[in-house]
Amino acid sequence: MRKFLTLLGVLVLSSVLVLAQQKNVTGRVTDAQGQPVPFATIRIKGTKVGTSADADGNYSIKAKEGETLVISGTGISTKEFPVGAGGVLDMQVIRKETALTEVVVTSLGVKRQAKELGYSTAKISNKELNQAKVVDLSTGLQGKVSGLQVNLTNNDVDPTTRIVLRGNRSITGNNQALIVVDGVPIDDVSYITKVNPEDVETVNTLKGAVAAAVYGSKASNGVLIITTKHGTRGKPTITIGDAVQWNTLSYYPKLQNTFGSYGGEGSYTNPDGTVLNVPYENQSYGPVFNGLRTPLGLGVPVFNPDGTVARLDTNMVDFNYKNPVKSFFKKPGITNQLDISYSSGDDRGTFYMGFQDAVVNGITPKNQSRRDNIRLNGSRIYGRFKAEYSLGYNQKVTDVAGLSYNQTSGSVFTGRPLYFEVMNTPGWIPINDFKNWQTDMFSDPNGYFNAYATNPWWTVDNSRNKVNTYDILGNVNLSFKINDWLNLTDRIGVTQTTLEQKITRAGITFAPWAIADPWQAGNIPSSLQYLAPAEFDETFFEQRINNDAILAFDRTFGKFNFKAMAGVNYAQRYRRTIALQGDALQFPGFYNISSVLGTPGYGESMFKQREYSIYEDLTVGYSEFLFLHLSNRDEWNSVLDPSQRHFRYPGGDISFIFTQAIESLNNNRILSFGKIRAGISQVANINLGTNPYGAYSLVNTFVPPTGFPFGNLGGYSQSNTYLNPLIKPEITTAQEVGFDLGFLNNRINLSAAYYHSITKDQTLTAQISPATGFTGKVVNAGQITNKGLELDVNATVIKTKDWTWQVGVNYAHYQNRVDELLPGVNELQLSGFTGGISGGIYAIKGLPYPVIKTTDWLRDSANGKIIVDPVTGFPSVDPNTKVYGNTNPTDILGITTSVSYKGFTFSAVADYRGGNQIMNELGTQLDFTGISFHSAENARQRMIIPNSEYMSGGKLVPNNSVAVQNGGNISGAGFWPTVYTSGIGSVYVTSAAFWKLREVSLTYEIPGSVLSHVNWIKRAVVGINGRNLLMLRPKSNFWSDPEFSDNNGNAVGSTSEYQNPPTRIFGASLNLTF
Amino acid sequence: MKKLLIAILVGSLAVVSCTKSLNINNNPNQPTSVTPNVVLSAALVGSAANVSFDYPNLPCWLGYWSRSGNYVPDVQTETYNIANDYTNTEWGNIYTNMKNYIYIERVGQTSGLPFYVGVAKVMKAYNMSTLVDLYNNVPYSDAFKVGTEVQPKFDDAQTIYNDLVSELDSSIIYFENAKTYYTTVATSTTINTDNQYDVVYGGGRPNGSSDPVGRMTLWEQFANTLELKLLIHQSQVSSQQTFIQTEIAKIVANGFGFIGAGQSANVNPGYQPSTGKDNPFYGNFYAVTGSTTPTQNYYRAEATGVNFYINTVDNRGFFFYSAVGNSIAGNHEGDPASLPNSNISAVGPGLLKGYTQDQLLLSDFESLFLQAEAVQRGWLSGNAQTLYQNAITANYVYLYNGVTVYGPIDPNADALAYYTSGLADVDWTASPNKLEAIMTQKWAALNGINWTEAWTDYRRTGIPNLPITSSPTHLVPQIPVRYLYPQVELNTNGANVPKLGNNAQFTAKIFWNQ
Repeated sequence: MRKFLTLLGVLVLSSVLVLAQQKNVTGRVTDAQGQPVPFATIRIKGTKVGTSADADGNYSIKAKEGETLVISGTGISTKEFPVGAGGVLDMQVIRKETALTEVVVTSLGVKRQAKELGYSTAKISNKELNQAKVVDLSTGLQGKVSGLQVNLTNNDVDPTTRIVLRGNRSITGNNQALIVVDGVPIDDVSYITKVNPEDVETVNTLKGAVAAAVYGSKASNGVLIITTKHGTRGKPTITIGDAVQWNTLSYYPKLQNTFGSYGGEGSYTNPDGTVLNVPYENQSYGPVFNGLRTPLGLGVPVFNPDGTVARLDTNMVDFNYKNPVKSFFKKPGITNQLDISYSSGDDRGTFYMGFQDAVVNGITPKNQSRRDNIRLNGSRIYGRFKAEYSLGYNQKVTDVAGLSYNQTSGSVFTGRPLYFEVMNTPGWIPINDFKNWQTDMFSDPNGYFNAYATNPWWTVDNSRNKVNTYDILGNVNLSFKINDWLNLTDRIGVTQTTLEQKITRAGITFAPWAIADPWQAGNIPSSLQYLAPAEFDETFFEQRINNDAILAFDRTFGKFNFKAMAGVNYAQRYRRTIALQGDALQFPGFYNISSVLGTPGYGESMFKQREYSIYEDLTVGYSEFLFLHLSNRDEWNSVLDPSQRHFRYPGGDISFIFTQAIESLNNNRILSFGKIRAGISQVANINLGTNPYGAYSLVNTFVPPTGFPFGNLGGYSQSNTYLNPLIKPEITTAQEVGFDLGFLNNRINLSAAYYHSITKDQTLTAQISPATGFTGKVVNAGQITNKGLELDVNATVIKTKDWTWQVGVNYAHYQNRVDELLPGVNELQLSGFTGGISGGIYAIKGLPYPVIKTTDWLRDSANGKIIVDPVTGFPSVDPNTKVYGNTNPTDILGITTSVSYKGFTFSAVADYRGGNQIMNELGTQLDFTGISFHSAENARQRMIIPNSEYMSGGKLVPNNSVAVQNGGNISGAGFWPTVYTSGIGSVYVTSAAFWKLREVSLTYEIPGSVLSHVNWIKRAVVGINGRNLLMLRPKSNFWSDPEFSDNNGNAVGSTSEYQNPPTRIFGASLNLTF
Repeated sequence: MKKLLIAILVGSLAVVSCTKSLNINNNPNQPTSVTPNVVLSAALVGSAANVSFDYPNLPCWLGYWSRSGNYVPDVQTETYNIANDYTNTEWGNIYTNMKNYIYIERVGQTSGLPFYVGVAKVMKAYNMSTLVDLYNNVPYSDAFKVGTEVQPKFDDAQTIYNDLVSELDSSIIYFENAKTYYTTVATSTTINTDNQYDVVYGGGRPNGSSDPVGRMTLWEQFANTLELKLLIHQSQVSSQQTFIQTEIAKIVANGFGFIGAGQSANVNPGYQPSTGKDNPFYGNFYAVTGSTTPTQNYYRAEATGVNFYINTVDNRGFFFYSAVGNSIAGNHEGDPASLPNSNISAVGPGLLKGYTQDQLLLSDFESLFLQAEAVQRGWLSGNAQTLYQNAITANYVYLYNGVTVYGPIDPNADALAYYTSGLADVDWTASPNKLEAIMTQKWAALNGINWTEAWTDYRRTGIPNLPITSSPTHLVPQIPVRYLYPQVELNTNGANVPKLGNNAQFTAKIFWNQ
């Protein structure tokens, strides 16, 4: 660093000397609104001397008094300004109608004109992002950009998303985009949920490797560049906004509403074949609802003072359908966002302050999240020296229900999710009558009717998962303009995250009568006898440091413009976690690890990773219509072996604006702009297992097996995955071509891209024969190909004084294929299914990635008919699994529109995704409990499986006579609860296609004439908005939202009861500007 | 321009000097190399965990346990219609734990630590012979070569067995070397450490020894007993008869004898009533909170076993099974009319003593039964009747030990009364077929203790005459003779896995099953 400062000093001195001999005209180019106009070309009339303004509109040129400066550029009208006596000449120009002149923040924060770029980018402004008042920035991106797929994989007060640009390149590694906030790369995509969307000026997506190469290994999956607001010149502006939103339950699996519980499994059959009432049963295989008062549960004993049983009290409930799911999630969750911002600026600097308090209440009772953001951004210019800083602080507190307890509960991690407990409640249960578990005998854990499930209201009150995160992101950007064409910048950014998590679950001392299990049901009290209070604590600290020093060169020689850049990057990431777990605490309701009984579980881990890079970037522009861009990065990364540590990211792209190059096309009224582009690059992705950053993933470790240490006796066993010390990064070679066209004075813009990428040397953990002593071996093998087409059309359909109507359509078609896996290995399982369903999500050679593979009924290979048992009529499961389609959509269509009339603005976003399948895992649970819709389709009568055959006399014959022997669940051998839960998977796979109305908003800007009475309010906007209002999906999918996923990793494509139900959101907002 | 070049040069130099600070990839979280003692303790505890509850279907096939009437049955177990993935976990458990013995053997060889080499050979034979007894041909000579061979070939079962016998022979040499090592070379620290981490025969064990020479002798007895067991498994292989006798002569010649009463090879690292630290067998039945587990509720008494103990007036019945009222009761495996748990005995107090109970690897009563059989077959000199009666007594002693629910009781007296009852296959002198008596009583003693050995004995001798499953949909009216090769092996090493025909579990016998 000292060397660096010395160098800086030398450069400062030398350039001052140069300056003293020169006289300069400087100024700033702005538009009619006072906003800077970047990159305009300024020439001295009648000479070849010229310069161009920088990204902020500032320019500097040597000129004499009396000469005339001509300013021109794409998107502005040419204008002349005479040079006066003074040294400062600000220029105001008029913008032309165009979307192609916009400035794009590209890699490393470099602002460039869109026309120069030989690759696809897409920009989303603050307004587009926030039109539906999202709390989570990523959900505000849905449907707006081609090639960007944002999946809301789980819904709650702190939803999880998966953000993927142009599909999946790594079979087992990360495929989610890199987030860059104000120039600081953050490789944890979930960081996006911590940003206040109101603070964001733009989100720019660098879709492909070609655009992102210079960011290095972290950017192989594309980049979302988030730029926060900076103050604007002029009078200080204060805005205050408030948005309120109501979340309501929108979808849950279609359930049957005909049959109650009171019948079910096991040996409870009367000699005449009728089923004995089993009132504690969790299965809904009982009689048809008849509305009669019916005892629920077998009765709770009421005791005399001397301890003898006085009587049994029985809870009497009407035997009719009450829809427990809807009842439980009845109360809407209310979200409130309060925003305050302050913005100001002058010639020398800007200042922005933003504050947001976002409180999100879920539809699950008591689930809440609260996020508070404070942001301070500023800049200051001192002559040639410019300093910018941005400082963001946020804290987020989430408090959600933890797991319930079950028959084997020990730690807080054993139990079932709340949604499972609610959904599987028999339909006639008045679920909300069980809130008072403290004193109501039918609601407390002893007297609750269900022998095998927890009262969800107990879980709400007694099992909590609280996470507090504190994030700070600081960024300082110092730049020094050495001379007109050389600029030196140093940007240092630090993020720090502290996380505290505490999961607690109360204990239960079950009543002796419940432990005695009077029903002989094997109920929870008799199995557990005592539920110990339990807790889990984790604290986590993470720090990322990133420093870029960049020397930038920008000079025009005749018709050639050279923009060159050389930089050095240093980055370090560090994380430390300490966790403690107590499965049995001394006191119920007092959750401190020091009150643990026995030895607590404990763990500590630390990870550190560093990298150094140097990079070079050159753009040669010829006559404003041909641009050649070349870049390279050399990276040295600590997590790899020294021999594999260094790798390169070369890339190049070209952009040709033919409407400017071909004179006959200049100023054409119909085709106003046309550009073709092409690019190629190679990027590397380090994919080293599950450790953060891939650190320490080269040498096998010894780990204490379960139970160790026993007192003073230690023990270490070799881990079961055999690591590979010489593992290399995965290499992606990406190519893209495309064009941008503007029609009718750029009122219609069309942009298209085709990309193709091949990723080789995948890092895979090959499942190997356990006879090697290991179950997996890490190797570099396998290849995946991605290709896709992206089309974006934006049109201003109507533009009059009062009316504006804009429509945007974005479409992406995506295809990928696993070309190779390991030698001799054709498939690799990425994840399994819950609920006992066989198979899982796989990568399979020759097929798209990833695919669902699961079991089907045993079928006649000749005609595909299901083979049933000639006696029972039951089909059986073919143990050989089959492929049931890919889980990533192949076609995504997004439509955005915005209509303005006077002060009214109506906006909407809708999107379609299709071409993929989903495994609805929760179906098997619902079939087991008899809650599912299809389990009641045949009124629980015996039926002949359609299109079936059975074996008779050594050959298969059509089945017209053998009905399933048991349509309900008599004697615990029913068709639905036993046959449908025997590992069958195909019956739960449906198309994942959907149309969604993502966002709708209507705002009204109160006219100035009204506001003139209160002259301290400059602007007032009121609005209403809605999100996820409507979803259309194929009829076969009566399960859940197919965008949801168990997993926000690569193995997307299965949903279960581990996600919370999706919601529909309505809201209203008010924004005031002072 | 020169300045620009200098700037780039300085920058590049800075990068080069920085590469040193990239050497930060040493794992601070887990060690990457350790001494063999900690691997030994982990491996032995791992073996104990494997042996405690791997292949838990076997008690259901062998008349010991049965499924519960309360729960949905395991269809594969009770119909014998097993799939390849039926034993994936166990296959993996044994092989992956065994790599730790391979590590110890290698480090022991290179660092001159003969004890670790000896133990590795014994435990390798212990595990590999189990695999052969369950699957016949398995990977052996190519196994544990992960760096070079990820698709190991399958070796001939007989060849593996012969090699294991010679490994056990050579283990004696290493234990002898270890005696020299501990008396002449090793420091007292080494002696104490090795002693502590030997969780089978270390000085901290009631059946162990603090004196390294005594400890090595115990291991030699373990090796000899295991070798005898492997040889006896081949009792029906006519071509091996000479080999068996030659090898037994070698065992006799080394003079260390076999595991005697009270010297069971068992593991106890200091089991505690804490999740994961409790005895693995007990932990399957009771959570540390004292509550019963689904396993406890799932595996109940089988009528075959229950009736045997009742019919032979054997008090051990109340130790293998819990009492229901004043008696013990069982279901028949696979019976659709199985009674619910309240009517049926659970696994009993003689097996489930507590969280801290020892985990048997090779019991004294199994050793005595093996010796009794060897004597009876004329391969070993001695008194078969005494060995037989001592074996029964040792089993009584094991079961009664630590059980207080029945008040003060004397296992020796009960055993004496039992084996002098005058009943055939109980009382030696009243038994017309001595081998049948030995095998019957061995089966009766191994209930819930060593079901793989009981299955092996049943398959090679057909004793006792066990009923098949009561499942109406069972596949073939015969208890399976082997497991199928695990799916995990077919997936990863399919080309090498021997091809078995349909219903191979009834036909493709283990080599010693002739």
